[in-house]
Parts: sequence; structure tokens; C-alpha cells
Amino acid sequence: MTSSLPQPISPLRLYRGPLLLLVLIILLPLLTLLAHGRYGYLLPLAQLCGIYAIIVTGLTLLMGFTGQVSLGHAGFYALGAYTAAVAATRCSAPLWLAILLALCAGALVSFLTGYSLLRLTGHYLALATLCLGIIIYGLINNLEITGAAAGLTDLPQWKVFGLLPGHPLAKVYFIWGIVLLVILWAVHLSESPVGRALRAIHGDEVAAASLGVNTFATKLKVFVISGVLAALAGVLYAFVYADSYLGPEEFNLMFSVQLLIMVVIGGLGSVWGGLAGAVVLTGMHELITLVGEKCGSTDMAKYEQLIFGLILVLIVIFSRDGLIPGVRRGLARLMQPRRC
Amino acid sequence: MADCLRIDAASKHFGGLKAVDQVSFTIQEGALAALIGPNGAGKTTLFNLIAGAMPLTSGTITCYGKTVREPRNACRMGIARTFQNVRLFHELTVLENVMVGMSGAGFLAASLRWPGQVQAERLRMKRAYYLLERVGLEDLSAARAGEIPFGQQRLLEIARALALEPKLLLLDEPAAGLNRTETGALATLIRRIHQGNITILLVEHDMNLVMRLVEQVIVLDGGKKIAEGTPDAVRNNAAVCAAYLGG
Repeated sequence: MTSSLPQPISPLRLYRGPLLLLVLIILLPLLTLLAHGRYGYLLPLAQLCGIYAIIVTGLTLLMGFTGQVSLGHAGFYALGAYTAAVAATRCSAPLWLAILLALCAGALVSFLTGYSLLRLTGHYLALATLCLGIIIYGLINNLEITGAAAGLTDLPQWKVFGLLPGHPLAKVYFIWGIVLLVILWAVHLSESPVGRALRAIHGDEVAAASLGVNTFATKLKVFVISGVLAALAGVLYAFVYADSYLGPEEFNLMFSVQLLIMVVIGGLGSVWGGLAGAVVLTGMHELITLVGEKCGSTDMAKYEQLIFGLILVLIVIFSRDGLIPGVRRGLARLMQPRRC
Repeated sequence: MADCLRIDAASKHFGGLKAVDQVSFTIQEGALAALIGPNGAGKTTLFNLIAGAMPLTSGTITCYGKTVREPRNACRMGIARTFQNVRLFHELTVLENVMVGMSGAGFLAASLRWPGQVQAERLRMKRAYYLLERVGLEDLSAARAGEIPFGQQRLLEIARALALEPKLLLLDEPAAGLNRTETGALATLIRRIHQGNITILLVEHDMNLVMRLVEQVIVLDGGKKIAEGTPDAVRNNAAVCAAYLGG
């Protein structure tokens, strides 16, 4: 035999990413404690990063793997947050019921929209889902039951295991625990026949169908799963991150675009790309402000758009397939012995 | 011998254009047949109809007595196909391309990665590797499908179709774009697959290959069947000569 028989990915390679993430999740937030709370303001930011990472992981499977572009996931995110909040405040539903309702709403709406929209492809699908996001934003921003532009107040807090209720650090651990589970699931899926089918659909839907892949059902399943993940992120936003107040400004059109950028800058092909995109984009603002303060400038924020645009341009020029593949290539080049 | 494929007055109209018009023929189990005809004769359209890629305007196509309706249904009935313009999954490896057609775990099982799954995946890889050996691509198994030479992409499409364990294999112009050596190797491969008890129907422009390889030829022109028979009989058929020479 000339070359050896190929083997499935080893558990070590499969789980080293999630293990590294677990270590980072445990250690990084603790650093803020060591710094005597000086960087305590970073904890809410870490929560927000985690919430976005959940949506983006679902979107990475939908867009990066399956190749179906959605600009409507801010809508499912809003749907999750508002269903949970309305159920808990207006209907005085217990917390678990509100959460369950929110997830069901996410599943139902994503199923109905996916069922009708996934017959479209490419730009048409992107535009149709964009409309979905606009409709949902329009509703929450105008309906009386969602408090319109004023939003909802007196939201209950999801007490994290009853421990340290409301402490930012506990919230970080809770949210990132969920992120870890979602990532683990996505890693499993990507290294399975299902992940292969998703990438096959992305590559050539006609060929995939000729090989017995049920392309429509598969696309619909991924769409619904990503919709439910967005709704879950919405619930976490309403009950964990938000301090008893929920307003519509978080869910506007720009956020859908931001989600798209998060998916794309990290690198479309991998789960880790999405996670990196979410963290980088969310952390960018704070990082820029921080660097500005260190350099003695107080209004660094006004250069934020500029710096952000520059980074996007650099990524497009030097690493068109995203941040993670680019970093990987760079590392590989460094490791290679120089030729003389 | 049972009828493998029975085409009965099949028609496909695109508006006023009768791409396939009242075509009937049968392919016996174990046959090696070719569908030929000048450009625009309706060969690929007929192929798409057999593979269930588009609905018939009228008539029926059955495989072992069962009606073909859509690609997935055709695939379950044991019909596998290749494409005229190679349609591989470019971002997947050569091995993964072959594995797409092998049924695997559903969403839930894949999400939880049941213990049995790794073993099942290993088996699929082994089978895929064996299929690549059959077409001579095993050394390229880890390469990306989009990066291997065109001739080998054609072979990969055949290996991918074989992964479905088909009863009937449809090859749409397998020799198009291949040089003489590659075409010779392809003929050997097709013969070997045929000996492995798979009925084969191919569309081909390379008359040399067709006359050398097949036992039954069906000639289409302008959507109609104009002749059918052994290669020699068809070669001497007046209508066929007229169609090809524009008489």
C-alpha cells in the first residue's frame, strides 16, 4: 500500500480547542479579580461577547458551512428576548416558562420563515431575511405590549444556580458555560456526516441532491437551530445581561449587519472563526478606548469607525478567508525553517 | 434478464421546444448502453429526466418497475449519476467527496457524537478509500477536490457515484476533456465497473469510445429516437448518418 488508510479525527485534536476554551473561560475572568476590580467594567463586556458568540456560532453553521446567508437573525434574537420579557412582566409567567416560551417562539418563527424563504438562494435569501429582521424590529419598536420605544422594565433576573445572584463574574461564567456547550455541539456537528452534508450543500446543491442529501430539510434544520440559538442569546440578554431593562435599540438593522461581519471576519469555514469574530468585534470598542486612555487621548472613540474600517480592509487584503485562517497561515510560515 | 430501466413515451417540453419527444427504450439489467446524438439532440435532458432532476412533461420512466420522481428518490432506487460539467464539492477533500453519498448519522446523533459513530465513520472512510483505489485516486485522498487535475476530477465523480452502490450508473460524457491515454484508462475502468454487476448508460460524443465499449446504442436527434441497436447496426443506419452529417 502506498499511503495509509485515512482515520477519523482523533479525540485529542477534536477536543483540544474546546479544552483550551474551557481553561480560558475559567482563568480570564479571574484576572479581573486579581486586579482588584480595576477592570471590573470588562465583565459585562465579556457577557455580551458570550451572548453574541452563541448567535454567531449558529450563523457560522448556517452561512459558513451551509452557505445560506441570513440577515434576519437579529430578529430571532429580539424575538427571544422580547418573548421572554413580555411573558415574565406582562403575564407574570415563571422564569422557566418564559424561557421555554421564548425558545419555542424562536423555533416556530424560524421554522415558518425558513420553510418559505429557504427556497430562495443567494442575494434573494439575504434580502428576504433582512426584511424579517426589519419587520420584527418594527414590531417591538411600536407595539404597546413590548413597551414600544420605551422598552420594558422590571425584568426578573435569571439567578445563576442561586449563587451570587447578579454578580457580574457569576454571569460571565454562566453565559460562557452555555457558549462552551454550544461550541462543543458545533464542533461535533462539523466533524460528522452532517457537517459534511452541510459543506456539500454549500459547494453544489444539485450534486448533493443527486447523492441523496435531503438539501431542503437539512437547510431548514440548520436554519431553525440557528434561530433557536439566537432566541437563546436573546433570553440571556434579557434575563442575565440586561439590568431589569430591555429596549429595542439593541436589535436594530445595524446589528444584523454586525452579526454578518462577525461571521465573516473570523473566517467562514470554522466554528472558531465565528467565536473569534464575535469576541474581536465586541471587544474592539473597549480595546480602542483603553489604548486611547493609555496614550493620553480621551476621545479615542471617535476614531473607532476609522480603525475598524482599517482592520476590515487589512483582513480583506491579507487574509480574505478571515482572521483565523490568516493567523494559522502566519504561524505556519513562522514555524517553517527558512530556506537559504 | 429483468428490465433495469424502462422509458415509455417520455417527453420534456420547454415552452414550445420539444427537448425530448416521445422517446421509448428499455435497458436490460447488466447492459452497457450508450445514448448518442448530435449537439442539442436532448441527451442530457433525457439524462436529467432519468435521474429525476426535472419532472417529465408526459410519459413514464421506471427503474425496476418503480417511477423516478426526484433526485433523492432516484438515488434510493439505485440510480447514480455523474455530470457533464464536473460538479464536485471543491472545498471538500477527495475522500470526503466520496463520503457525502454514504448515509450517516442524523443531527441528534451527530451532535452528541455517540460512541458508535467514530467506528461507523472509520468504516465509511475505509469504504471511500477502497473506492478511490478502484479508480486509482487513493494517493490524492487528502487533497482538495478543486485542486486535482481535471481528468482525475472526472474519475472522482465516478467514485463518488459508486459510493451509492448503484444498480444503474449514468455517466454524462465521461470522456469529455480527457486526452487519449486518459480515455483509454477510462474505458478500462468503465468495463471493470460493468463487470461488477452494474448496469451502465452513458452519454458520449467520443464515437471511438462508444463503438469500442458498448453493446447497445440509442441515437437521439431533435429530441426523437431515430435508431437503436448494436454499434455496427447503428453505424450503418441511414437516418443516423444523415443526422450526423446533416443530410
